[in-house]
Amino acid sequence: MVDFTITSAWYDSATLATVSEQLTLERVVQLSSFLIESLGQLPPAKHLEREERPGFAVRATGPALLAELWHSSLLAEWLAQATAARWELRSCRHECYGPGDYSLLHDSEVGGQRLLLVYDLTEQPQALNGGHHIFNFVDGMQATCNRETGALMLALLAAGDLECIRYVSKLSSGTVRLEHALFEQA
Amino acid sequence: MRSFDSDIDVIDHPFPHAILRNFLDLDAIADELEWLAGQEFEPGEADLFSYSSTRELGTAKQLMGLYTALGDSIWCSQIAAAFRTPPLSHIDMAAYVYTQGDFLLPHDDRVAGRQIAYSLHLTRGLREGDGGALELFSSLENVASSVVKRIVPEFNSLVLFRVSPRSWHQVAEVIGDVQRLTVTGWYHG
Repeated sequence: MVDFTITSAWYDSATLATVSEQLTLERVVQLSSFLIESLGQLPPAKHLEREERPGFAVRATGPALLAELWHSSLLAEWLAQATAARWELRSCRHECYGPGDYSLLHDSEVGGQRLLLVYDLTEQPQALNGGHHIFNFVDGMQATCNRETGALMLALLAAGDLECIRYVSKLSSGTVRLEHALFEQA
Repeated sequence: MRSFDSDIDVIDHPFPHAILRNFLDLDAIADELEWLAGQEFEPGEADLFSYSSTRELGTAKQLMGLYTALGDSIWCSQIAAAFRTPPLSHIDMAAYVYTQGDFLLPHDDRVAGRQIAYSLHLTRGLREGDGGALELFSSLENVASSVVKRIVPEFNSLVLFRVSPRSWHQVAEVIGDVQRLTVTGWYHG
């Protein structure tokens, strides 16, 4: 049984205020070592479902491994403190991007204000060429977020904001593994 | 400057395209190709691509022979007849270099005015294992399905295809330690 407890450092009130401020200003923040315990052995990619949609996304997906966390009141309360807003889970899934996989910049099925949470399960980020997150905001601002094992990425997105996972080079020996959860404002 | 003098054989599947070998008279155009190789190539990165390219070269007087070979009125008429497009009025032209790790992901090229896309391959000795093939997709209701044709860039070959909602294509990632050089652009109606 994995302990989905959030690392105590991320409960510190000054830290939460900084996260909130950074999220408002930069719209994307990455919190290292977010959970106390690692998830352990991941299911092999071959057990996931291939999604082959050239021109949109080529990847493998499966049920969220952290579904319990994404649905938990623990996380809901933490998000309320970190963002000064309350959020409802809209969808969650596990995503896997091997060499040659990608998603292109796209909007979300949730049209308005939304919060994207991505927990990074990539085992060897240094073995990747590509695979990072790219954001194009509707006001012209751009952001990228590199893979970091055990980090939680929060992205505050509005209507028209786009995101994608950069094409993973066939020369890479690593694979991107992510937990992807989308929340909308309650 | 054009050595190709045959009929244009248009292949319909998965969308109308043609591969014209020995397109240029290389002796006549050698100086222009040397000038082209010396141009500044600016690296470009987006979610869709990674490559380096020149500025628009259609106005470069050093490439008048190449521009004429690709875009004179006789040739435009031949292409329009072969692909059954409206009359073609002009081309744009730029050079692109893909090095190891560069790629262009699936897209259909549709922008107002574009009738025919072209790519003139100018790297000698590329092999299938080097990557960089132009890959054509089948489509279902104008949504890309799967790669059904791979065109390995052959030196001095010109690839043409009709731009349409079905013209989904990509450039496979360059895997080898090679430079894939093309002159690429569109014939406009």
